[in-house]
Amino acid sequence: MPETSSPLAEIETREPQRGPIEALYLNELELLEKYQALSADPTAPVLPENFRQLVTGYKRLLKQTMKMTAISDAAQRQMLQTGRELSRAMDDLTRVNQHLSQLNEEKNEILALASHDMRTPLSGIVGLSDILLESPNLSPEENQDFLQSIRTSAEDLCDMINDLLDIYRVESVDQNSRSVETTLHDIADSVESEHRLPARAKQVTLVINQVGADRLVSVDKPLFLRVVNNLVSNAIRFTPAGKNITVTLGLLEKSVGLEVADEGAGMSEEDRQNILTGKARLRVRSTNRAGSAGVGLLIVKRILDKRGGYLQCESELGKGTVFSIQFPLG
Amino acid sequence: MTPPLNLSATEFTPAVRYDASSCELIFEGESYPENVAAFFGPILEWIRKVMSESAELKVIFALDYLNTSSTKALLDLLSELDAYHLKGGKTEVIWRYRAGVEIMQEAGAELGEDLHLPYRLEAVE
Repeated sequence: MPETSSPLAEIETREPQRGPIEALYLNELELLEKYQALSADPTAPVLPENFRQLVTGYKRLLKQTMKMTAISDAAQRQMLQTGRELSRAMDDLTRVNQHLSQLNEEKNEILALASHDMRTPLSGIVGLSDILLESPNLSPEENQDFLQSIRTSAEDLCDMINDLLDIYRVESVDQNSRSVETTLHDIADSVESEHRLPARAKQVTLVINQVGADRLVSVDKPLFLRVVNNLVSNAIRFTPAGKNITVTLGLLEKSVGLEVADEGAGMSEEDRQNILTGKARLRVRSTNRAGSAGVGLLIVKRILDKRGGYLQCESELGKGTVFSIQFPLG
Repeated sequence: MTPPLNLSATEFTPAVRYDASSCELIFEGESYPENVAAFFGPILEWIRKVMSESAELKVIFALDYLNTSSTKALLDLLSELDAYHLKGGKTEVIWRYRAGVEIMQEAGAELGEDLHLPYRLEAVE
């Protein structure tokens, strides 16, 4: 007996808007349509009841399959999207890990360098204190000499610790300049007052030249002075008695130019490259054995990198070193 | 003469290329288009045209991923190729999968299960 309602009624009403899933199962839907046409044909032989049940079951199965396909496609799409997001997150994580590992390596290098450098003044302090403690019959002059040496070693140690702390402070220097109006003359005065005594103590002549000294410039003075002071104290450390250090300050179009030339021990090409690439490892030793140049120069390099400045270094072993920098104005 | 077929891969669909010199039709990439019938329909039409000319056709699937709808589309496609083979058409199918990717190996095995045409799985490193 033919069906009174079309088994495809629902599908037929949706036919004009057949979606992707219906389009995918077109062949199967057409089979049902053929059955529908046959059941509606009064001239066709009456189909047996079990055949009608089979077709009804087929229709139900097809609808379920279509639904499952749609649900499965949506789940798979979501899964792929999540997979891609996870993969991107993994890439980011890998990059962060690499960066952290690089920072850790750098930190270890700095610590190794600093610990190594601190050993000299510390040994001095311990050794000299032992002498003072174990030698009650020293003359007041000898006592004074030993105490002075202990104090010098302690000051060296203090400088090293400050340098070390500076490295980490530089990391927190932001891109915003805290510029102040100043003149090269003012800067030169600050440099001279800071280094006059240490230079004299080492019997090194400090010459400061300024070009355009009285013109007002806008510059992040504390940061610039930190760069200049690090370079000059480094030069003093590496220049033997009787030699000269020449500091030249000048105004460029968009920056302050500085050149620090010493007549010290100079450095190897490897050390020069390490400075320019911002590595802490330096093999050169200072003339008074008060540590290496690594940390101070690393600070200079990092400040200039942060501020978009420029660092150049020319050096020859036994002849001296010339550091040239450009520190941005404004 | 067999018409050219060259579809570039997209984020959701594989590259589909026909090499006339080797009679190879290769599917390469991932397959999860929004509208599978719209993507595979024209390809199936192209295959029917090739079969109507009694031409040789070697189909290579080198898919990294396929969704349920794409699986259904491939089953239809394989079914037509199988019918072509049973009528004497020269055709074969290679299912290429990355060695170690079990899910794609199993998918290839399932898809080829009831076919009569030459069908083989090929692991690539």
